[in-house]
Amino acid sequence: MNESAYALETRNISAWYGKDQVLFNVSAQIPEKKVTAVMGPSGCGKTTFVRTLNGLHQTNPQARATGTILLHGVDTSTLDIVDVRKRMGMVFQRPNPFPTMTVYENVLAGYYLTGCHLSRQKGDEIVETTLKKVGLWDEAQNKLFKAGTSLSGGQQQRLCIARAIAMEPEVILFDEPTSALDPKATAVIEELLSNLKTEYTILFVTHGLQQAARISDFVGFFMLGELVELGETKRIFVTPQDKRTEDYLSGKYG
Amino acid sequence: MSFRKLKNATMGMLVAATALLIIAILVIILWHIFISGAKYLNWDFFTRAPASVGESGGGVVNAIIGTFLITVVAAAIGTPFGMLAGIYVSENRGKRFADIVRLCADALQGVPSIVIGIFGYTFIVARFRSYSAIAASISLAFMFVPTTARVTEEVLNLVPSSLKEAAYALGARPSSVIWNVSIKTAAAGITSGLLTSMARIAGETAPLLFTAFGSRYIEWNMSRPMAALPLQIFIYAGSPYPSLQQQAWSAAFVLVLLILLLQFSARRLISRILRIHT
Repeated sequence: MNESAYALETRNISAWYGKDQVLFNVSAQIPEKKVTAVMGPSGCGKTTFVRTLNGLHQTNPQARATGTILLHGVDTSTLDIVDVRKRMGMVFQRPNPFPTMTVYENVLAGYYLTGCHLSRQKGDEIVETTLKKVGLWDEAQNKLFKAGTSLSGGQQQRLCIARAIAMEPEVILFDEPTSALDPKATAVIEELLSNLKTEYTILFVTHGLQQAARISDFVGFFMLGELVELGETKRIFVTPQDKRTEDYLSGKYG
Repeated sequence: MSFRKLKNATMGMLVAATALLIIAILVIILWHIFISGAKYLNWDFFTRAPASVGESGGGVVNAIIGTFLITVVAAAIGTPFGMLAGIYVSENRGKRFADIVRLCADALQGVPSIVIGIFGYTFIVARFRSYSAIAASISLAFMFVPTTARVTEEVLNLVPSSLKEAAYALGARPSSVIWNVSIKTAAAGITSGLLTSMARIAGETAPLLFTAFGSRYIEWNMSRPMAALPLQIFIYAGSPYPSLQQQAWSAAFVLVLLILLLQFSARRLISRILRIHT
């Protein structure tokens, strides 16, 4: 049976690019409405891991993946990939608002692109509530009908978060969302997470140890395509159980 | 002066001289056409069909209408094929069939226009036993499709994959990603490509010789022979009457102006798309 007490659970996920295996039997449990950080040195497979969850990894014709992903206990391979992606939002490394769309349209992009018709009133409502949730309403309410790309980098990234949560997902995947931002914009997004986790399950890829420590309730450590350890952040940072985690935390892999 | 510096200076001058030469050639051609053509331009030139043989005056409005109709219809026929082929090749990068399509487009681009004209003559004019503007449009469409396909492909390849991934991650299906993200982001570039392709076929003469054939009258019916500016230039320039030769220059002036206008609009659009991407 596929019973699972977690918002998201993976069983034996392996992934390949061409002939190179980049993930090895990753089994992870992601608790509901918590921030789970995914950390590890560059090239350890953490980004590939989150990209297999919403099937983005497999959009590359060279790439494939095996294993089971349970979203609230349901095997995602039995669901339409479109539904899976609607239920799992994603925020990328670099802010990528659609350059042809206004701020307003960017927030509703998920509805436009999946052919969902919204009434004007409903649209206005979603735009306002989501922009408030990401703390962009005050800054952007006068720029709603300007291009999404006219905002600053940090604002663009929050617009992308708004675009993801406008679809009312259960899980939000963050793939190093602050790596292209300055410290101030990074801080704004980190603060946001504590609000967002009251409503959403968050998976947050980062290569910064400090960032993982600051923001997460749980943390998973990846190395060479393996999930070495996953547990409560405090526990992992204070008493790591695997030698490799300990070495990483003491700065041996950088 | 050291040898290295001398070499540098010589090469610098050579490069500058070549650049200057290109500009000079363009300026000389445009200047000559302007001088020879502009002074015979008058209202009649744009509003009246050619005068009867031996009479002076008259205009080339029939050819202006013809060039407009033939080019627009050719673009209308060629655009869907060219764009769809371009989309296909761009979306299937690296696949064998896509590579073959791209190769064929390149080969078709290299076919001399006179050959395209003979093709139009054999398969359309000869079959329907009549010269016609539509035969010209179809022949020009054969030249329009490969350029459009290549431009569409290249512009689509410029669309950042991060945008497509963002769309996929929101649950968009591939068809929605292509139409709502790729094409819309590349719209300015694709339009610019269409204009450039139109500019290219508007000036073609050879295919028209075998298909549109030319006409002395204002013609709107695409199934009949029709005048066009390049044809008119060809016929007038070869005629023994000085007044017709003058009109050939004027027609050349109008044609060049038209093509430069198309190219210029294309440039403007290209600079817009470059702004989006950087």
